[in-house]
Amino acid sequence: MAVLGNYFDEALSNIEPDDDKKNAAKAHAEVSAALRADERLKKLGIDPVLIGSYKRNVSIKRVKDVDVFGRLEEADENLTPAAALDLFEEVLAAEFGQDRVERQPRSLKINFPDFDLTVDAVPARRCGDHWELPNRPEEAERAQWVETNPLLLNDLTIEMNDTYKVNDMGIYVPIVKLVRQVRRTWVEDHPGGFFFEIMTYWAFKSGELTAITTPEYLVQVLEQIAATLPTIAEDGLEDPTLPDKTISTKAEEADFEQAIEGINKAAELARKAFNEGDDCKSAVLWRELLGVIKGVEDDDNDNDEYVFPLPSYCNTDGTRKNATSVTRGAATVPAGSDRFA
Amino acid sequence: MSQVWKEGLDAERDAYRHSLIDLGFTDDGKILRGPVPWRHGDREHTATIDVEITERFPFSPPRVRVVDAGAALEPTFHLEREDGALCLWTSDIPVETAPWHHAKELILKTAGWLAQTAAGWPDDDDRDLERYLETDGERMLVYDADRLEGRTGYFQTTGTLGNPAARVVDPLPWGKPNIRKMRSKGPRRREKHLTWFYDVGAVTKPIQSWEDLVSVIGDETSTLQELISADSVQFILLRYRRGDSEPATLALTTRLERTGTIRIYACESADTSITTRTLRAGVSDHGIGEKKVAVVGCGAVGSHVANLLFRAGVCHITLIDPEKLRPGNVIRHFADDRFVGMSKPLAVHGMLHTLGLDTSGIKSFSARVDSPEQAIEVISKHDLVIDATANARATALLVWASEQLDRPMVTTCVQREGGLARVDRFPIFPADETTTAESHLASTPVLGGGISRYEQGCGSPVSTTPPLAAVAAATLCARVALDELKMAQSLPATLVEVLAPQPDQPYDRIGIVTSRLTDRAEADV
Repeated sequence: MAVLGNYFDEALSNIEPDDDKKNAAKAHAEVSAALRADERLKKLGIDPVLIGSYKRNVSIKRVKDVDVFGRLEEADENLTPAAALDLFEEVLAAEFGQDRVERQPRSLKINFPDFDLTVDAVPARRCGDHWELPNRPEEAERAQWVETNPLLLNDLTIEMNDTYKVNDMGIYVPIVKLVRQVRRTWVEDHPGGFFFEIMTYWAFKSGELTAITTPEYLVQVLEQIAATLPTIAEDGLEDPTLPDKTISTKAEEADFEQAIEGINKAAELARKAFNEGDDCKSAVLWRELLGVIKGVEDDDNDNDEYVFPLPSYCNTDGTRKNATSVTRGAATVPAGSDRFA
Repeated sequence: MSQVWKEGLDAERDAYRHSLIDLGFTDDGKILRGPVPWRHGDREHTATIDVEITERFPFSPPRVRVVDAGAALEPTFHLEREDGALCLWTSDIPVETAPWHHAKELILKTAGWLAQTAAGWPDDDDRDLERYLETDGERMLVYDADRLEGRTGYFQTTGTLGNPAARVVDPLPWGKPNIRKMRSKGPRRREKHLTWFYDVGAVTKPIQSWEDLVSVIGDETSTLQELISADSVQFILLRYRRGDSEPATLALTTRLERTGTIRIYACESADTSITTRTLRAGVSDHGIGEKKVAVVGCGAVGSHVANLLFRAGVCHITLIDPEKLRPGNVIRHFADDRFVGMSKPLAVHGMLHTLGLDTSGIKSFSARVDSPEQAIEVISKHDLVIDATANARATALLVWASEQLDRPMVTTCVQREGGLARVDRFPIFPADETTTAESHLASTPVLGGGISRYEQGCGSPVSTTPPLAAVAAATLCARVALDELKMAQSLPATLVEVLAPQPDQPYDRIGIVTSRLTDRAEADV
C-alpha cells in the first residue's frame, strides 16, 4: 500500500484557487457595499453575507461565481420576490452599469470581466429561523418565495471539519475539494460540485468512515458516493439544512446515468491506487483519478498540469528512476572524523 | 530546483515516511504521528510523538516533538528553544552511518530521551544553557575569568553603548549600588550598565525565564529586580555546573517590560583571560581575479585560506560562517582582537580590508550550510568552494552537491591535534583510456588518548591544534585551490602534510603523502 500523503498536500495546493480568492473577495465586497449604500434597501434592513462554496472554503480552481446573500431583515410579507429583484437590479445597474448586470430567476448576476468571475446577489426575506429567496419553478408563472437555509450549511461544514481530523487538521474540507476535483474529471456536467459536496457530507455523517489518512478518506468517500448515487438519482438528495427537502439539480436521467458510471470508475481507480504497493505506480493512478488543473489543459496533452504531482524519482509511465541512496554507506568525508578547521 | 539531484533525496525521505507508517504512525502529509513505548524504573508508558521530515533530512535527523508523554513529565534539557523539538543526536555523528536513517533507531532514541528526562538527566554534563533562551543577538559580553575568580557581586562594564562587545572590568569600588539614592535621583553614571556576577552552583533544569532565575538566586532577587528596574544592572553573569564538569558561564541581558516584569535574554559571552587566549596555542594570470570562490567555515583554517587566496589575486570571495569571533580564537585566526564579537566572516572581511586592497568583491554571510538546497546553491554559484568547516554534516552536504553538479570543491582540515594537514579535492576523475580512476587516500585512522579542554564559559571542547598547523592546512588548501582555479588539475585527489611524525604508516615521517604515491612523495608538490 503506497501512502503518498505528502503528495496529496501538494495536490490540494494545486487546486486551491489562490488568485481567484483575492478577486472574489474584492468583487463581493464591491457588491455588498453597493447594496448597503442604498437608502431603500437600508430601510428593508439590508445585511449582505457571503454564502456558497467560496464562503465554505471548499471551492477549487477556478472560482467562477460567488454568492452574496442579500438578507433583508425588515422585509415583511408585502415584499414580493419580483419587487425585491427589481430593487436589487436598479441598485446594482446604477452602480455597475446595466451591461454588467443580468437578471436571473432568483438572483442578479453581476459580471466582473477583469476577474473573469461573476457575483450572484440573491435577495432574502426572513422566515422564522430560516430565510426565503425568490425562485420560479418551471410550472409557475412568476417567482415565489422559497424557504432556504444556506447559513446553516456554513456551520455544518465547520462542524464536520472539526469532527473528522487527521492528526490535528480537519479532513472534511480537503476531501470535499478532492471529490469536487474527481467530479470535474469523471462527471460531464450535472450533477454539479455542490451536489457532490452534499453527498460527501452524508458520507461523513454516516459514521462509516474508518480512514486515517487523506487518500484513505478519499477512497472511502468515493466508494460511498458510488454506492448511494443510484438511489439518490431516484429519490433525490436530502438537504442537510432543511428537513424533508431535497437538493435541486439540473441533472436529468441521462446525466445521472453518466455520473453513476463515471463515479463508479473513479471509485474503483481510487481503490486500486490506494492498494498499489509501489509509490510510482500508485502516483500514476492518482494522477489519472484527479486529472488536470482546471484552466491549464493542453490540446496535445503533452503539457497538461496534473493535479497530483509525480514523485521526482518516478517516470511518467509508473516506473522508477535509478535514484540511489544519498548518504548511506557513501564515504562523504574522505578524511574521516577527528577533524579541526 | 534542479530535479536530477533531488530524486535521491525525495526517494530517501519517502522511504523513511513509509518505515514510520509501518511502525503505526499516521501521516497528514506533513507530520507523522505515532507511538513510542518507553520505560522509567519498572513502569512502562507509551508516548505520542510528531515526526517532521524536514528539508535537512537525511543529512540531519527528522524533527521530533512530544505530543503526549503518556505520563507526567516535565521537559528540561535537550530541547530546541524555538519549537520544543527534541535534541536527540549531536552534530558530530558521521552522516553516512547516522542512526537516524532508521525509523526504529529514532523511536529507540526518543524512548531514551523520555527515560532520561524522567530521570533528570543523570551524568549529563552539557553546558549549554544559552540554547534555552531567546538570544540578544546584538552583542557579546567579554569578561576575564581570572579577575572574577573568587568574587561575586556588581562589576562596572564598559563598551555598553554601540559596541559589539561589552567588557566586564572592575568590581564596583563601594560594593553595592546605593539603592536609596537611586530611588530619588536615579542611578549615578558609575552605577549604570553594571554586570551582576553570581555562582548558582549545580543546575538541574534550564533557566528559561526571569521566574526560573528567581528560583535559583533566591534572596538576591528583590535587590536585583530593583536595580534592573532602575536601569542600573544591565547584564547578569552566572557561573554554573552540570554533572562533574568544569564550571561554565551564562551571560544574560535584561529588559524591563511595560508591565513591570523582567525578561531575560541569552547573550553570547567569552572569557578574555590569558588562560583562554593561550588555550588554543597549539593578482595573477589564468583569470583567477574573475573567479568566484566560496569559503565555507571562516575559523582558523578558513580565515587563512581566504587571506591567502585574496593575496594571490582572487577578488570574489564569499565568506560563510555562523559564529562570532571570540578572544580565544584570535591566536589561530587571521582576524585580530579588534574584531572580537563580530561574525567571523565580517572579521575576515575587515582584516582583508586593512590590507588596503579593493574588497568590494568580498561578501560575508553569518550563516551555516545545513540543507541540500543551500549546498546546491553555494556549489552552483561559485567556481570553487572551499570547505573549511570540519563539520561532518556540512562537509557531507558540500561533497554531495559537488558530485551532483560535477563542480569543484576542496575540503581541508587539520587532524591529530595538528600532526596532519589534509586536503581532498572533488570531484575525482573517472577512468579513461589512458588512466585509471582516481581515488582519495583512505580516511585517517583516529588515535585515542586526546584530552578535551574547555574554554571558560564555552560548552564545547576546544581543539589545541597549534596555529602553525592551521596555517599549514590553509597553505596546502590554497595551493590546491589555485591549481583548480587555474584549471591545471595537476594535483592528486588527496594531499596530507605530515607536520609531526605519527606512530602509524604512512604518516610516520615528516613530508607529504598523496593519493597518487602513498609510500613517499616529499618532492611531488
